Amino acid sequence: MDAILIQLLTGLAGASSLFLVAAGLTVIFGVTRVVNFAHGSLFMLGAYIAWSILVHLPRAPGWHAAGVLLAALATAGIGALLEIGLLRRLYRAPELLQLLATFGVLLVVQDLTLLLWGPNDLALPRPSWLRGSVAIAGARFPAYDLLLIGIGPLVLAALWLLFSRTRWGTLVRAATQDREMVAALGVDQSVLFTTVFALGAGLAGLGGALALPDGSANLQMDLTVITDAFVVVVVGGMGSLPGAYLAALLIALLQAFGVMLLPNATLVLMFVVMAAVLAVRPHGLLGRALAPARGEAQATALIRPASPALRGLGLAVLALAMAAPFLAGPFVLSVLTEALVAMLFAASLHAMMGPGGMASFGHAAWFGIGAYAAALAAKGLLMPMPVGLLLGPLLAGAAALAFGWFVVRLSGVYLAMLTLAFAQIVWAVAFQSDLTGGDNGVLGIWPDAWAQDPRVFYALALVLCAGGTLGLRRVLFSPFGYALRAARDAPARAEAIGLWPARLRLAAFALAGAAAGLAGAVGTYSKGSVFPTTISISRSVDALLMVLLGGVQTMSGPIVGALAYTGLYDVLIRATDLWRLCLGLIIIALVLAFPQGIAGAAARDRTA
Amino acid sequence: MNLTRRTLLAGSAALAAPAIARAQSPSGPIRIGEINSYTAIPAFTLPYRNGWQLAVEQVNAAGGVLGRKLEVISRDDAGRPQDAVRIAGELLNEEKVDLLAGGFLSNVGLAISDFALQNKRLYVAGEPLTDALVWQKGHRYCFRLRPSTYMQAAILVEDAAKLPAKRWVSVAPNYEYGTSTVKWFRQLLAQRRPDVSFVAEQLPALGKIDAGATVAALEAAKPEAILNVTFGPDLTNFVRQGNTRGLFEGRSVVSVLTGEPEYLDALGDETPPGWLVTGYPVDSVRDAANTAFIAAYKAKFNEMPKMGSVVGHALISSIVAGIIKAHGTDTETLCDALPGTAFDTPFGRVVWRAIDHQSTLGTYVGRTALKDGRGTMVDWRYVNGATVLPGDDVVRKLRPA
Amino acid sequence: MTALRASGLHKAFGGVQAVAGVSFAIGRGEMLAMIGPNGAGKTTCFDLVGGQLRPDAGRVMLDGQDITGQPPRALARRGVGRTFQITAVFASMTVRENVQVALQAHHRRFWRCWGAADAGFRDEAVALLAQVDMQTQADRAAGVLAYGDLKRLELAVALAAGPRLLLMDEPTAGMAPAERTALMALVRRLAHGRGLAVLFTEHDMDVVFGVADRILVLNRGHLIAEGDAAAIRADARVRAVYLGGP
Ligand SMILES: Nc1ncnc2c1ncn2[C@@H]1O[C@H](COP(=O)(O)OP(=O)(O)O)[C@@H](O)[C@H]1O
Ligand SMILES: [Mg+2]
Repeated sequence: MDAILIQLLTGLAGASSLFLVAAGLTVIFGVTRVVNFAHGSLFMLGAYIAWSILVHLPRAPGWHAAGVLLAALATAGIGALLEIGLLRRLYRAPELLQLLATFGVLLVVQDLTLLLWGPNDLALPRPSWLRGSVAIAGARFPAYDLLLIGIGPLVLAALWLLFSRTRWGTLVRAATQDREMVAALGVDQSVLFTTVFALGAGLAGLGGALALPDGSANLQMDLTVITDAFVVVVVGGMGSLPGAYLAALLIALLQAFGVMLLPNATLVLMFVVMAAVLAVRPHGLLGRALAPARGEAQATALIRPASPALRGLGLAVLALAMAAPFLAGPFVLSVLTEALVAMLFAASLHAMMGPGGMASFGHAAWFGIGAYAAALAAKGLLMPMPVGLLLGPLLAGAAALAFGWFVVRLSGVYLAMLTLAFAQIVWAVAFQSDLTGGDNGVLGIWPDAWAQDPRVFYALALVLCAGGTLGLRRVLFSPFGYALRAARDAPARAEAIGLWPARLRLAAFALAGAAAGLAGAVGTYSKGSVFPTTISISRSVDALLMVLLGGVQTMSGPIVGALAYTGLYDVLIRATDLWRLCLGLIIIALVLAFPQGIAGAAARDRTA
Repeated sequence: MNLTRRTLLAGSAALAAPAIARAQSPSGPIRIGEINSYTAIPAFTLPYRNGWQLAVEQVNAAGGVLGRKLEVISRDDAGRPQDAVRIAGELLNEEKVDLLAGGFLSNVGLAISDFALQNKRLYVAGEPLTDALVWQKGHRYCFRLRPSTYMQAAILVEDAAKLPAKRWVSVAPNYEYGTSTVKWFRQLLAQRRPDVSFVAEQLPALGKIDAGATVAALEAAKPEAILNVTFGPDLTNFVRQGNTRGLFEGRSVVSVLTGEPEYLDALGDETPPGWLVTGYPVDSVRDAANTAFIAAYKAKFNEMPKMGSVVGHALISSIVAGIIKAHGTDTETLCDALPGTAFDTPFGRVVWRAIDHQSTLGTYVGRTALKDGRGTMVDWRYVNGATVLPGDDVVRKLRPA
Repeated sequence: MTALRASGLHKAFGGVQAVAGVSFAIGRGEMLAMIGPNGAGKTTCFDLVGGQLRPDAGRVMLDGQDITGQPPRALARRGVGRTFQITAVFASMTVRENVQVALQAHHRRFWRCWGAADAGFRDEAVALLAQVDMQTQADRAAGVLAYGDLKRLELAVALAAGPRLLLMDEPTAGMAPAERTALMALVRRLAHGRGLAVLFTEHDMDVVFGVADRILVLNRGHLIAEGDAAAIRADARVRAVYLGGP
């Protein structure tokens, strides 16, 4: 009984921490619809700034509180700068483009933090009042955790008052519901958005500063926190503060009791909860269906088959690619093979994300299933390579078909997060199962003897990946592709002419899964090994970046994006220690220069 | 793109060497291709880099190896095994390195090792801890320097077995390193102390420990002793919650790697005294080898070395010793020469074992203590790696290749 | 011959009774107008008949067969075409492709994954566009059309399936008066020529009285009057609804 009470209180403290992380994200999303990938970075900056301030202050509670608030304010300032300097320019860009921009920010902040504060974890020495405990149920419970238990609901109440009792709050709520209306009333939206973003960033900073006494400021915080924040926001319902608190409560309590009952489940618990909630409530606990993403009309680009010039260019590139084995050495061929795999991977995501209208944050799941299917066929069943290359897409496609049934009922970020949940579950299985070799992966999956020459394997990869990409492209220009696009452009109209949008989306989902699985299988044989990292979030984000960089609304976008991204990455990582800073800045510059993506910009120039 | 930008070349005259000169030639520099997770895990890999940079500088100042300069071409793997494989290919095919070295993460180490096997090139792993690297997945072309997961557990078990505690609990990060350390520790402890039982196990996700809940769950199991395998930010969180909640009071704690400055420094004045740990008492070692190393390191980098620095430094020494013995850099000759080769490290003389290509580099075991508001190791002793490795018959069973 | 018979339709949203016991029938070749003030329940009626919504009570019979609660895609196959009050076309396609997709859907080609879609049913699509006077715009992007052109395109898309029943929710909203009359005259020709049953709503009473064979008047979910133009003009309750008063 006593143990239960202690875990309950621990869970409540955890809920407050989770809520503080998520509150800012949900506020920002609710109003600006920006999917802010840099939220974890703001949290991390809050912790580092708080550390820098607090080590210089007297350690009395009052000074500590002042230091924490100062850190939150500083982070809010950084948020405001971010909004004014970057995001403001992107509100009219295609949806999720801000995601790409904020990912660039995340990369930049990672390197800047390392440069400014150094590589070591910075733990703030705790004065005795922060170490104190209270005797509860015969155990010592941290006084600071009791404080946190109170701070969560307090912040929730303060935010509620701010949004419901101030003129600013009323305007923000109005803008959430109907942007055009608020604009028509003569309210300066840009000020509104800047302040909202600053508030969200400040909350992230507050979360980081408040987390400091329990641990350290460290360089892993951004990525650790960002998934948690997204899960809480989505489970609660995007834009809903009470929902976020409820979700934080649910997750933290399940976690607190989960460690007692199922210590092995720590990797996935959160994602299982999210999948379960979304299966029952497609808009989270307290979320509502969202009005179309933007008040400003968002033009859908016209998709045309390739022009003769583009076709010529494509053929020229293909010819060059076919000549590569005669021109390039083994390393260049391995880089090109990797680019081919990335291209098919990106094209597969694009198929569901562009024409299918389903963005995914977990596309690596299918890539990974394909990769593991090939690996296990080779190592477990001792099958020759062609069998592995066949099993990869088959199993990935089948898994996508099964899981897609849940996914296609959702839309927007909810759909994307459900795919992430599934990817994390697949990842955890790969990570913990003996069959897949756990963290140490499956090794020694090299091509059959006939294909071991890098030139032969490259040719094979070219046939499979370029063939797969062109095949996908063909499908998207076929009646099925048009029907799929029809279902995305106007679902009600599509149904009224006899199409079945859910089925079309499901088919596209499975197709995308199979294509990603093929990419995964080819990738496995080219690397010789497969690890759970192939299913990691960062791998899924790679695919998103490539698609967005190239342009979602063009058919050649994923190809251009994949080649540009892998090329940039490969060059930068070998050229400089600060490759994250450079890559981040380049991404930001590209986003600002080509909001429609690189290929999108080219296409617009052509039609203009 | 400036491919030589991160090329460390002591005797810097040849820094701008044209590409043609890079081709292997007996008179040109000996080139080591080095890969590590510099951006993903800078806290551990940057001191390591300092370590090998110091070693390269020392080797070249003493006239190089076999009259040739030593050159390290270093690359970041971003913490991704797939990137490491690509980079390994680049180092071999473009940079024409003579051998591969490096690695921190176990999966990166395994990926490079597998690549080395496929391409029949030498790979000397520095830091990856997984046993698989030299046992289950071990092979002719792969050698590993640092004491493995098994060795860390075995070193601690010696002293842990002397503790009176019978009820144990464990807390370990939820991945291979954590689970296999716990597995070995339990297995080895049970051999010496059949009366011991493990009554609870916590497996927090790496980097995401829910420290309060974890500590409370361990407390609820009413243990007499605790095995801790967490490290880095998780360890800091765990220790702070444990201190406040009194988890460690009146209990024995055995903790892997916690005595290494990389981890101990972050604990600061919260370092719980009396933990039985493996590590590196850099502030109190007094022997000649360590003292010389620490002095040289401090002179160059103006800070104390960490465990990674020792590994980085020893990595270069171990390779150099092999090249000297092989009279060259031919892979097959090197792989024949390395087993049995001895080399000097800050921790003393170490040998590459012939049976499994594990080095006998050991580690220090001792107790944590607070000194001037900082954590330190006391009552320590150096444990030679050779003394804790299992017998040859056991190794042969574990290592098929 | 009765093409469609709706009887006793009920639909509530939360507390709002949007449609309360509405019954009507449409004959082959008949132009039936449904009028009523905003919020009367017209669009809800269309959604109940068109399968977008499932009625709380009541039935819908098409050519004597019960189609209550069937999804729109099934009704499309049975010959029910529809245009929407909030215009929706396929914005990422050209005008012609919009019609081609509808033709492909009608001919159940949409699972075909091979072969270029824009090669199929080209001439048929152009012919349909000519019917609504849109052939000159065939290669423009549908997303950039003027409002009236969008409405005409929607009609062409709806006609692509060769429907027997056409549901048109405010088909001429946003058009100039002359355009409205022309469009509805076209629909009337189709209805009378092909035996197509048409149910439409319209705010322009000149258009309604000019083209409708019969008129239904809806208010607060209830059918309050039914008859030809003259009867509706004369109806006291209709006058009360439209002109105010008790
Ligand atoms: N999806 C819905 N949810 C809630 N109320 C609705 C919904 N659709 C319509 N209503 C309500 O039902 C009533 C009838 O609406 P509608 O059928 O659109 O009227 P009309 O088309 O005649 O203007 C209105 O009061 C409207 O607010
Ligand atoms: Mg209406």
